[in-house]
Amino acid sequence: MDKKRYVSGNFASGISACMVAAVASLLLPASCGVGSKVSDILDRDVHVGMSIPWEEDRLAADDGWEDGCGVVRDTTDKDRDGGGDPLIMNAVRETSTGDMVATDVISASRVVARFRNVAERGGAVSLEFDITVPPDMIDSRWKLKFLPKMDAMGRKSSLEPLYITGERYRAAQLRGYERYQAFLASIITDSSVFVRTDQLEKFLMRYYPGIYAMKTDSSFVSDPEAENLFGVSQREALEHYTRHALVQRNENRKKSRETMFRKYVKDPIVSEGLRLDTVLAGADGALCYRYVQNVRSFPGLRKITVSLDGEVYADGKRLLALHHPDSLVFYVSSLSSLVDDTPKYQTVVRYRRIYDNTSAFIDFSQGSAEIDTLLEGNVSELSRIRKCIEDISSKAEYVLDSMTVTASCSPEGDYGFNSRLAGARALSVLDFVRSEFPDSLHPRLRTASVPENWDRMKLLVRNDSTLSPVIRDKIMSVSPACDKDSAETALSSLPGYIYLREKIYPRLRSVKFEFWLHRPDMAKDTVHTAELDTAYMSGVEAIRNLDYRKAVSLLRQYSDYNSALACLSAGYEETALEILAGIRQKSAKANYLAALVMARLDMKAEAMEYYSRSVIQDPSMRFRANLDPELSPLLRKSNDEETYITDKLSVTMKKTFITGAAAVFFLAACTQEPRPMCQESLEKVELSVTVPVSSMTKVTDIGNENAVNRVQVFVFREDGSIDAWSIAESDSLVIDCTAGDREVVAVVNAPRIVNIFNIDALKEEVSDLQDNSVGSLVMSGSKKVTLSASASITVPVRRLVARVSIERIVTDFALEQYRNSEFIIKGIYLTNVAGDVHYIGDEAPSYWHNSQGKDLLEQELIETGEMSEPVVSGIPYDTPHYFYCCPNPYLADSYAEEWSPRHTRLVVEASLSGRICYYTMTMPVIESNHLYTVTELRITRPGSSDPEQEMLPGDASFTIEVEDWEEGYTGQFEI
Amino acid sequence: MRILKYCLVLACMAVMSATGAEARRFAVSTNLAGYANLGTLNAELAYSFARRWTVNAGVKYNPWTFRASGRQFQNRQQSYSAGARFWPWHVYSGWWIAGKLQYQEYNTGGIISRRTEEGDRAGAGLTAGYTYMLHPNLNIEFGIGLWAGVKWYVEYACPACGLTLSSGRKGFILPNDLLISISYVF
Repeated sequence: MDKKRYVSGNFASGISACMVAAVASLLLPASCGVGSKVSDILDRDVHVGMSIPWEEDRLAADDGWEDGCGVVRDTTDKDRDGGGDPLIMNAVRETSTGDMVATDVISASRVVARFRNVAERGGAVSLEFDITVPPDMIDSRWKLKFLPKMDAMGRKSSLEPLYITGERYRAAQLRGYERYQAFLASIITDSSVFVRTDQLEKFLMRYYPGIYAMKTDSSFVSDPEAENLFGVSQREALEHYTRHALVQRNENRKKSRETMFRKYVKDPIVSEGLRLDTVLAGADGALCYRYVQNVRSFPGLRKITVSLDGEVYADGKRLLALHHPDSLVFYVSSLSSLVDDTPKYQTVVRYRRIYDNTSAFIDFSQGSAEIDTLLEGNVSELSRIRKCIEDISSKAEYVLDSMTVTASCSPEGDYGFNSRLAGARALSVLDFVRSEFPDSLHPRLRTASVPENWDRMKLLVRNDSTLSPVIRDKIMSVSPACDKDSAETALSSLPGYIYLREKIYPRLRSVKFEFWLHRPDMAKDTVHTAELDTAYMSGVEAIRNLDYRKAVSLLRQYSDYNSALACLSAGYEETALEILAGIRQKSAKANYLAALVMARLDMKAEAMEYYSRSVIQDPSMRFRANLDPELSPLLRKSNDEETYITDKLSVTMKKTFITGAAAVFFLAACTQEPRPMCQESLEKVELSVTVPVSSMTKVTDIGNENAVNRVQVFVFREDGSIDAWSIAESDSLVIDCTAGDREVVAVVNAPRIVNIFNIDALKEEVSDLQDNSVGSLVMSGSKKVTLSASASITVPVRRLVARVSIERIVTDFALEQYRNSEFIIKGIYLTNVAGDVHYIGDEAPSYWHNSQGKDLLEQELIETGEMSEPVVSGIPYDTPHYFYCCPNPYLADSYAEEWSPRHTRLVVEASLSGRICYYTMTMPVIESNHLYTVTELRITRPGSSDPEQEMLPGDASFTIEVEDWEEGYTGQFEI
Repeated sequence: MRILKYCLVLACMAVMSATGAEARRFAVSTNLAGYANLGTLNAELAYSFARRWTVNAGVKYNPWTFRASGRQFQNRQQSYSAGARFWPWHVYSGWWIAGKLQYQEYNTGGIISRRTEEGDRAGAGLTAGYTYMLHPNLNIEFGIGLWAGVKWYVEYACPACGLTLSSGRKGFILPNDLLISISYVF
């Protein structure tokens, strides 16, 4: 309105002024803000060009991948000029308050999903998405509120809002709080301020002298109603001297606290129930917030839709309502969909005839068969018996055939009397309960009696722990075989008799009730029925309901696929692994689960192995792997290996599309077969592989150079693709592969070789020298075989390394001075040692050890270590030393300073009168599985000062024997 | 004048002979600002007979003539007044308004100009003010008042001469009190 008046002021004098104003308004839109529409359009023009739909591949991802998810860069319609400029915008009537509120469908922020597919784990789903606020929306005077809303299969909820507050906005909020605090401080809390106490006091002192005179008196005084000489009471005086206006003003202030709060603090600072509240100071760039929300999952949750609403606040009032036009959709996958739903049955055996019994301890008085129903023990026992009989009779599925009451007595007393007594007791008890049974049954109610229950007594005594073993044995030894009464007297003379009478005998006076029942609806004696195992089915149900703990508790005992799935979902990976290992014939799903477990336990190679097995069995598992975050990164890393399988599949599929009827046939064949190799159905055979190293023994073998600790076997098809592989920690194994022409490669004592999908991959594998150790030398070999049925073959293997050894060192110096000087061998080692060798094929080593003798690290295979062996002239040093090295194929030798591949050398380092000298023996071309032995080194002159220096012929003499390791050869060479 | 003196003495005697005088009924006060009025001695006696009323009688006496190097000025007076005060809240504290009758014999001159006026005034006055309690026995009073009445006067040309300028009887209205007085409450 102000601006309009300004304009009309300019219009005051005619058209020229009008033109001036119009031009001015066009030229100075920002500063003058003349003409709201003009400034509006100008602003809109600036921003419209910036609305670019974003593609999410602009984002860098460390894991997971982003799907296209409707990222739209939004425009903003912000009034840069600040207050005072009327801004013309669309308005809608807000339904809740009825106000007209400015609104613009300005998609003002970029929301990007990082993962379109989310996996449910442990009953919860983690949603992550980015909210990006472009710099245009960020203003120091504004507060932005973003409210994500989530719709999970119809269940709508709002997530916690984000607040992005401009600095000036926050300062204004804080100022509001300060002003409110100042207002609160102005409320007087001390009521003595309201009274003019000085005047009141003087008045009271002047006119109520009695009170003050009695101030020191302890008796009760000070009636506030007391009047002074003119009839003015103290209360009136107090009233007069109170500043009533101040009191009133204070009360008003107290009452208006709420309104004042609302007036000063227009927009309170919220600190709870929100996700983020940032204050941006001078931010020029966009703000990106990664919103992470954990959502409780429920069965049937497949899709979660997230939409974003926003609001812009300025000066405490809502300025704009924003709504992001697109929403993000997350698809939820769950392990529970892998559950196996087949019903499980358990066998239940039902018998036709049932037997049941119960005992009662009924107190009879001495020698009597009367039941005293007033005794407390008897009452409870009899009622229990009655209830028991009632229970049995009332069950509809059973029919009572007969019942027997057996009464027994304790051993004391005459046997004959006891037997009659027991019979009488049984009868009296039977009479007592007879009324419980229908009349038809009465003939079948029997009695029996055990006059003196010696067996039970012996049993009780034997199991009684309070009796000492001595007494127990004595009691047990009393045999009631012949005459019970004399046995009784014998017993009565024992020291433990009192205990027997007090404690054991009462338990012998029992009455036993035995029931025989049968099922009326059964004809056969026993019936085996298969019932649905409800515990198992409820466990499966629990998996479906994502209640994993309950599922584990129900299914653990079954140790099958579903049980493994439950354990895996609940996070018990080791248990799941155990269970899966116990499953012999794993289905595709079981292999897939095993892959998941391995991936979770961070054993990536094994995971890939199981996964590939699973895909071989069921190619659709490949698509499942995309959904599980444990496996998808592994898949992407090993994409080339995977393509081999998928390529086969895709190639086959392509063929089906190209060729006609044959294609249809192949397609049918493919979809029927569980395996993807659709060319022909391959017969499975079992191959037993052994490596006959034990026959390759030499006398000079040390340690256990032919030990086989582990063998790994690969079976390749004619085209070089892998058919099967297996590994065992022994010297033979059985492997399941398919029939046909196969090449079997065995690798012994090597570390696990993984990810071999064809023979070329294996040809590229190398074995390091360090893989060998004394007693575990790496060997390899291969054999071609045609398999038609299960067979067993031996694969000949050769050691990959060669052995270099020196057997004797003799000093035979020509010069006298050396003969008497001290000669100490400091060390013997190999230099220029090849570091690695291929398992199959001969190729050059890729790295070297101890080249030119310069970097002798501690490698026990190629050096002896520190030695200090003195050699006296004439007495040879006889200890042989053995070294292992990888084959060195280089023909040309070189002694150049600069490193180049050269022959391996055996160096003896010695100290001759304190001076270090080297005796170098250069080996010929070293081949694998050969022995290179220096039988004797005869030293005649001081050696060279550098291990890489060629030794002159006069320094020493030696010869090198070369022989094949395999052949049994013993012999010595004379130099 | 003599009658008034007699009344005053009677009043004092009445006061002094009052037996069993209850506390806080009597007050004597003197106006400090009055001393600034060329040293006018003044005193007033008040008696409260009800919660909101006092009667008072006062006297002012200024015998001083100031002669300094040929110049002479004076504001000699003796005035006797009797009046009553109304205290809306309670006597001897807070706001009050008073009316009184006053007789004054005066001789004023040489202060602003040499003209000197001498005569008698009689009239009624109205004063209002506020009393602040300093002590159970001590008050400080602030007040302002004016009075109006009739004066019989002779006006001379100079303070110590006999040249008459005018004389007669006239009405007058003058400010009477400017009180900053201390009163002692018995």
